[in-house]
Amino acid sequence: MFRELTFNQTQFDLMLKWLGDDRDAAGKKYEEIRENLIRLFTWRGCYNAEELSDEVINRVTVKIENLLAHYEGDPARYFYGVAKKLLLENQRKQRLQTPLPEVAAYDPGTPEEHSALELIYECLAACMKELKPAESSLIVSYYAGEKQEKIRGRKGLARQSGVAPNTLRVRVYRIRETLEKCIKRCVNQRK
Amino acid sequence: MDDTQKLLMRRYLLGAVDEGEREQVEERFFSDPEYHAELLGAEEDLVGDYLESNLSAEDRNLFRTHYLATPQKLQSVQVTAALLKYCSTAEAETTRPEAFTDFKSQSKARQSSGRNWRFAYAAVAIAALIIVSVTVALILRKQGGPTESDISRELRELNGPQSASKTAGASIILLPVSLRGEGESPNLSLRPGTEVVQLILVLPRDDYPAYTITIQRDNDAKPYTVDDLHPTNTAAGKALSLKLPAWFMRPQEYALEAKGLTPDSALKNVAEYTLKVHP
Repeated sequence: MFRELTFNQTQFDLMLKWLGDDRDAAGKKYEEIRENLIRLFTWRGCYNAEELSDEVINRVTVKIENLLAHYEGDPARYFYGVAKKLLLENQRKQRLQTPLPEVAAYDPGTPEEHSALELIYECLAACMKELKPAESSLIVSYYAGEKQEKIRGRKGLARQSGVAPNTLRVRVYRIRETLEKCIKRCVNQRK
Repeated sequence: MDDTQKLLMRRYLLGAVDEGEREQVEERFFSDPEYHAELLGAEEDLVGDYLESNLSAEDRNLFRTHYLATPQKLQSVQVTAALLKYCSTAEAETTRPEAFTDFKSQSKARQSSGRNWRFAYAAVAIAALIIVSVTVALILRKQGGPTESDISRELRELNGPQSASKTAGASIILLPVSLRGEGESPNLSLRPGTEVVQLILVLPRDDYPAYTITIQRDNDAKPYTVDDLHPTNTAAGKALSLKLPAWFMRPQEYALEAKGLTPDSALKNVAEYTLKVHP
């Protein structure tokens, strides 16, 4: 737990303005930075990635007036700098606490994992039906096929859609996020 | 994005980087949109390789101990596994109206139609077995397996100027025995279907413009040689990339030597490597 940092609406608005003059674009940038922070903390093995990401945003927002006056450069890099500092603090804290239980290694070949996968599979099938037809069709095309076939398929899919492969990947990520939330909900209900 | 960067990204995701490299990856992830997308792509490929058993034993171990260290990642990998299975099934059945039926109903449908198909499967399997046996017998009678010159030619082709067209299905980084120590050799397990294996041989120093690698297998009278390899910069330092056909990599211990080519065309020993291939 972190000590509570509070910022006011003006500070939050200033922070969004710092991310972009257009409020919608700034909102998207904000979401993007938050997602990247969550990814960073997860890659670094933090269990509380979302909490840490929100703490980074809080720390930046309470200092926004000072930042606007003195910081020059890409805001995303500043967020990363604060995240690095927080990682150090978090590591120190975790060393002082009882170690967290080890996550059982995932091996798709074991009977336990097969059973867990079957539940996720059932939920996935249900969640796929909640997607728009174009979204479910994109997901199926994106993930189908063996390794080489899949790579060729994705390139072809990007060409067909008239977008760069990276743009296609981002689109798929967005749909996948929706799916993962739905699956999580469904698994918790059926357990 | 060059191979060095891709390798660095993979090592970052596996937690096998030093502090400087970690910061380099993370800073670019936050500030360079192209790099950001590439890193996400590298993560996707890494998870795919894990689920399709295309990782070396060392990388698989790192994946399980580092990458899967949080419940979030564990769940994400499980979802990917389910998606791969679901989408392959759905794509194969797109011509059928029940393409998006759920897993259980698909299983039931398969069970009920199983008996009808069993005879057809058996007939096809027997026919395929006969064809394969006859073909193998004919090839063996004609050739007696790949000859030394077949192997040498394949090694030359894989490591020649046109080699980029052959993508490796598995890769492993090998440190020189002098740096790694005399302990157990790095392990490599090959998944069925892998065609090409890439060995990345880290050089202890880079004093020569070109290198020769010799590969000694247990039962070969003499080692195989691949010439004219040029070092590239990798995240682990200067390294040579050696591609080998998977059929060449029988389960056993391999000894490799890197030799530098001097200006007067002499070969000087540079480093020794070992590798153990498992079935």
